[in-house]
Amino acid sequence: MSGQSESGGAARERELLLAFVDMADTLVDDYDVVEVLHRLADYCVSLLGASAAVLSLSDQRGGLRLMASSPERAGLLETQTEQGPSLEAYLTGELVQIDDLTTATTRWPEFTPEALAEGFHTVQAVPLRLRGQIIGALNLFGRDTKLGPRNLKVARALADTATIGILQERAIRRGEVLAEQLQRALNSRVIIEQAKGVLSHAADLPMDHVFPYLRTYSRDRNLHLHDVANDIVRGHLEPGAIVDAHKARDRHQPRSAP
Amino acid sequence: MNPADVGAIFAIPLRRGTARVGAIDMYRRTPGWLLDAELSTALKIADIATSALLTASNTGADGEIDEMWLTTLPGNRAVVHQATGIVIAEFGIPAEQALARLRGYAFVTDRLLDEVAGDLVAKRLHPRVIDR
Repeated sequence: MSGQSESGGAARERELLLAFVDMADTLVDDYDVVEVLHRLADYCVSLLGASAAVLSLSDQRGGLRLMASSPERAGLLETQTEQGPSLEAYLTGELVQIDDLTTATTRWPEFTPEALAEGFHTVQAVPLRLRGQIIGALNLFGRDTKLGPRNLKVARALADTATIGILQERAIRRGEVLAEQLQRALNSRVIIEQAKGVLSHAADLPMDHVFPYLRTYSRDRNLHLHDVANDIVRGHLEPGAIVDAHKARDRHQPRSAP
Repeated sequence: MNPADVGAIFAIPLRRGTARVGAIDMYRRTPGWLLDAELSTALKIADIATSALLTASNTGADGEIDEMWLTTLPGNRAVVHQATGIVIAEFGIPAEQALARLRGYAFVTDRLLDEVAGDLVAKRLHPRVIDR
């Protein structure tokens, strides 16, 4: 649980290495932006000991949009795109770090109570930088302790690797390409939210349960999350197929509920 | 504008998730990319145009677009997109129509789109009431 634990030796080194390889794969491989960002958020939780991780990207209209979160529930704190550490890190380009959120109720009157109600007491928000431009923020929540300096450094490095891959650093020296890629990524997230709505209603599942269904379906078939979501919304893929696949998968490899 | 005078063209898709209503083309005499503030304005104009056209597609060819659609920026909260999905699943209609119905329902009941969407997602409101 402790984010400070740097022991664990070779196994941990190997896990970290694999995480970097995974993020760096976006440079050469076909990838899905939202899926990559979710994996990055997952690594911050599973490998680095954050209690939750939330990634937001610039909407290029002066604000942020939430792109990925781990656990998914942390994304419910939607005010963090309008107020809070992510937005401050994005606007200032500096690390925003609060060791005790109870001292930040006047600083962020809406965000802080919501975060405290979720049991979070620390935040560390890192700006996502690319070629002098800030294109978003990664916010790490902690229940008790924040990430130690080494793990925070790893989180930054993972985020930088993913950012470079996702936004195809070499191409974005031109502003128009950055705009195209960012806007496409934002729209991809909207499609996924629409697909969650279809799936939730058609399969009578709570809204905050359906994302893992989409994700595992896509991963198991090596499909892009974006394409699967798009097919669901356009009626080319039956919601029942996703649910059945998920059930079948659970039967074969029992895992804890999301 | 004489084609010879066009230094740059900016084409922005008018879309919200799978809902697509077209594109907006902007022409400028001087070549080069947009400043951050100009890009922000262009994207906001595209957002407003998307909302207005999505609403118009619901009111029909002679439907007048209320000024409200042109002066309020569209909600971009996740619940609105999720609620759009709920309406798509309920009626088997495309995203464009689902969004238009949602906005229309919010308008006639004098409520905010975010609120209506929140009620649908929380199952406090059944989508069948949005049959317009």
